[in-house]
Amino acid sequence: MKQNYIIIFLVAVVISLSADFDIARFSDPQKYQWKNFEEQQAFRQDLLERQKLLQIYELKKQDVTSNLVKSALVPGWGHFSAQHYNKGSILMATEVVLFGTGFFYLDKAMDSYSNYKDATYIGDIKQFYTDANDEYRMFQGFMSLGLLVWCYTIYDTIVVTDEYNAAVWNRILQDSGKRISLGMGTVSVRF
Amino acid sequence: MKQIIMAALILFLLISCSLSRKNPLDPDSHNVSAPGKVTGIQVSVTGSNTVYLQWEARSDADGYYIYRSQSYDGAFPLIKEVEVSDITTFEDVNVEIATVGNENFYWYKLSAYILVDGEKLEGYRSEAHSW
Repeated sequence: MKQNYIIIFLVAVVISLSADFDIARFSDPQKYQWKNFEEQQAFRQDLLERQKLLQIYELKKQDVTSNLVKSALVPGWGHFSAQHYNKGSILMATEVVLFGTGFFYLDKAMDSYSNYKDATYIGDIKQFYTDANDEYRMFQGFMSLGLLVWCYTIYDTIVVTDEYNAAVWNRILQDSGKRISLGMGTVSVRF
Repeated sequence: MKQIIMAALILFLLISCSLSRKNPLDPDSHNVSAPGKVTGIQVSVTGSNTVYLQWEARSDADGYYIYRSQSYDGAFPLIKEVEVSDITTFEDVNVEIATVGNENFYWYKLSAYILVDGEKLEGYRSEAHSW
């Protein structure tokens, strides 16, 4: 008995929904303003051309993630990939100088620290410890600056890769004369 | 602004770490104290090849180091270790006090040391003394 009520209820719901459904609008062959078969074909052709542009863009654009990994491994590598050679060179040189100076001070600090551990004269103990600490702080300072520049390099890789991709897209547009715009990280196609 | 403050904070934390004091003779980290400077140093020439040194005994010393140089501010290599704190004299016979008008001067520095677990912790060296 209960099952019968449920079936009657479901049938009533289906009937009431189907009353609101506009079957004519759903099946209207002119809803895209195609007046004839030629217009439909032209529209289709236009879509295919735009799709082709996007495919060319996909082939030519740089992958942000891969550039990020490159910059994380070797600072500046991602910039070189995105053809920002000046910026990449400056960042790479900065990192070499900062880390190089940092390791120079670490070497000096470890020498002084080794002398401190072996010292038996009170003057040497105090002097070597002070020297080792000063040099170790210099090492920490340069390494910290190097890490900050490294983080900036990784962040900037995203920006320059997006700039590169935007330039690629603009070139494709210039070549084709199509009105398709590229935003930061998004592509919008105006139909 | 927030990122700059965070970066500065991380930088400060990284820089504020210092090296640990691992030298067992370091008075700043272990319960030891170095002996004070040797005082009352007297230097006299007792022969053409002999210089006599005398100083005041230190109660906090286990021995003394004696350094010698031919210039006041030159290098002072160690020439003698006196291993008994009660001995407060030393006769240096390895010198050449030259003739009148061309006299060689010798300068001496002394320091006291204490024994810490078999290692000698040397206190500050005295000023250079001569006759």
